[in-house]
Amino acid sequence: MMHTMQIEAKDRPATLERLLRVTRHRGFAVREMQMNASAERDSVTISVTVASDRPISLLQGQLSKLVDVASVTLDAESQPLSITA
Amino acid sequence: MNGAQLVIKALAQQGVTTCFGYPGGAIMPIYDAFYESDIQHVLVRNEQGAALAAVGYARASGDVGVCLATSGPGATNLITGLADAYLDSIPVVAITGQVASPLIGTDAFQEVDVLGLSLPITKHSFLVEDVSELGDILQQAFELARSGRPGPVLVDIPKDIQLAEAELPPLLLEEEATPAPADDHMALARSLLSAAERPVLYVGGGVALAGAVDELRAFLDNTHIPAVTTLKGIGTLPPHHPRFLGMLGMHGNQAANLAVQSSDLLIAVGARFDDRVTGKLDTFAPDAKIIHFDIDEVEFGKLRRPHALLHGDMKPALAKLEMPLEIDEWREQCDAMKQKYKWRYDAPGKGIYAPSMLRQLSDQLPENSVVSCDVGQHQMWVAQHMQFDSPHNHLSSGGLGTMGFGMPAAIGAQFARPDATVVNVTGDGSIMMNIQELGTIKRFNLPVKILLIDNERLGMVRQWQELFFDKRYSETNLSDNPEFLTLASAFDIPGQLITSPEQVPAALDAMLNAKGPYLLHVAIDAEENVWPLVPPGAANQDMMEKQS
Repeated sequence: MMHTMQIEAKDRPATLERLLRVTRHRGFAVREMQMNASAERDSVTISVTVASDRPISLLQGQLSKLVDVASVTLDAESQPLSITA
Repeated sequence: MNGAQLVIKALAQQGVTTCFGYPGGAIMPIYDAFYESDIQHVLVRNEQGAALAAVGYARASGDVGVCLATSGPGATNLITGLADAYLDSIPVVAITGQVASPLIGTDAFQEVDVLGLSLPITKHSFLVEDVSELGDILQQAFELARSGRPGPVLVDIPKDIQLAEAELPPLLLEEEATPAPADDHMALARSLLSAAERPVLYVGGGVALAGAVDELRAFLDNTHIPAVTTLKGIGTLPPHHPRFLGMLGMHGNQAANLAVQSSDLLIAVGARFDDRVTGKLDTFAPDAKIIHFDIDEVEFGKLRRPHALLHGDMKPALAKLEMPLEIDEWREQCDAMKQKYKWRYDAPGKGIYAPSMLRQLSDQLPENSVVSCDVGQHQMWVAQHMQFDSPHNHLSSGGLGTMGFGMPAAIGAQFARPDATVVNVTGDGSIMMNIQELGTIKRFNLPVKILLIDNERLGMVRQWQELFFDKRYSETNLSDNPEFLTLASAFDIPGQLITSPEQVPAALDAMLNAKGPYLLHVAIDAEENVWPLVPPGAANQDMMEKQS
């Protein structure tokens, strides 16, 4: 299944590597990606489309945990983890 | 003040009194600054020993452990120890020297991309690019290592930055409060618990990391829910509590596994549904709903979807979940299983039965002693047959399963708690993985006791070869081991070899009463296996038992 995410992160030398490493290791393949660095805001904005059989919420959580990542937003059709009793 | 001196001052500012490391070219300015510092630097004999000693220090004390290494091979030798800390969520700060900034990327002498290597095995890592950032980065490193779900943080400092003029920023004490779990999920959890007929408390290492041992024990006392623990949770529950059923999982107690398998509600507290705990995941506690306490949101639903997720500070939350429960019938069932499956020590054979010896050691140890293990059969026997009153007293490499963990971890623990008895229970395979740390024990005359359980095999692998690989014993025979007592004596460490059960009590006494370090070398039968065992791919109720 394909999912698209928008990621906001600090512009640090290893930011992109960290994101891509976690994505690969957690079982997701990058299908499309665009990154823009903003010198004024010391940040990067990344739009990435990934493919996997695993729930996207697992990757969203792992990416959000990275210290330099400010936010990971899923596009509308990607469903977050829902908890019901 | 230069950057190197700033590092020492920053360590002191963080309350660091002891650190473990090994010097080399790219970290020489920092070692020069150590020369007139009050911080005790413990010279190990391989950087892996430094990282694992820092882990042992952190686990025995609850404080951040600190290790240092030079660039290149120094840093790569740290990697296994940092991975160990990462998998077990142990707060460690690693400081590495790096070649000077202009040389980075030129394949300079002892240059390796430490930042790149650190990515999968640290919570975070920094390459310092400007000396003006150094103080802030070190503060962040300590804060990150100890906050939330703890873990290792690496700071790579190029040599030119160590030598540059620097200024130490004031210490900022901005600790963010840990949020309490959401009210709606607490209400959900309460309704699940009130409806449960067969609840089980599943306790992991996260409870100790959250500093919530007292709160968890109070919860157990006030609810009397049957309780099990993971390997890392050992010591969190009082070992003699009537509701405590022991460790669950692959080498767990049958009562613990069967209770979990029969439960209709599992309350997971700081535990992560590791494969060594669950066996075949889709058969684990098949009828149980899940209440999951954790500080790390990614653990919710990673392997088992919770019905109530209690994210945040478990300390106040545990008390909020307390309620009177009418589960006497279930408690009685669990009591009966506990009685039925209690450990037996009536082994046939004439040799020393390691489980029985470890039980004796457990009974003979002074209160508040520390036991560090290596990895393999002896590690599981310690988990099964020794009893611990505090999670800070049982140091075992859980997530990574690092052979060679035990001796450096014992060294770290002895520095953290100089008055405690510290015993490294090890095997003849594991001890050789970091045998060079006998040099560290000698250098500081540390009173670490080494209990070497020697079956002249890589015992756990041999056991699996026997059971699952048609007895094809590939590369597990260690009958050409060195003469361990001679080896120890080369480091001025006395000891003795025992071979029969009658020798055990006096030998344990001799070891525990020795003023300095001691090696008790215990020969056991090569065929002895760890029982019970959940075979790979099986459900936890299908444990293999010893054939007698």
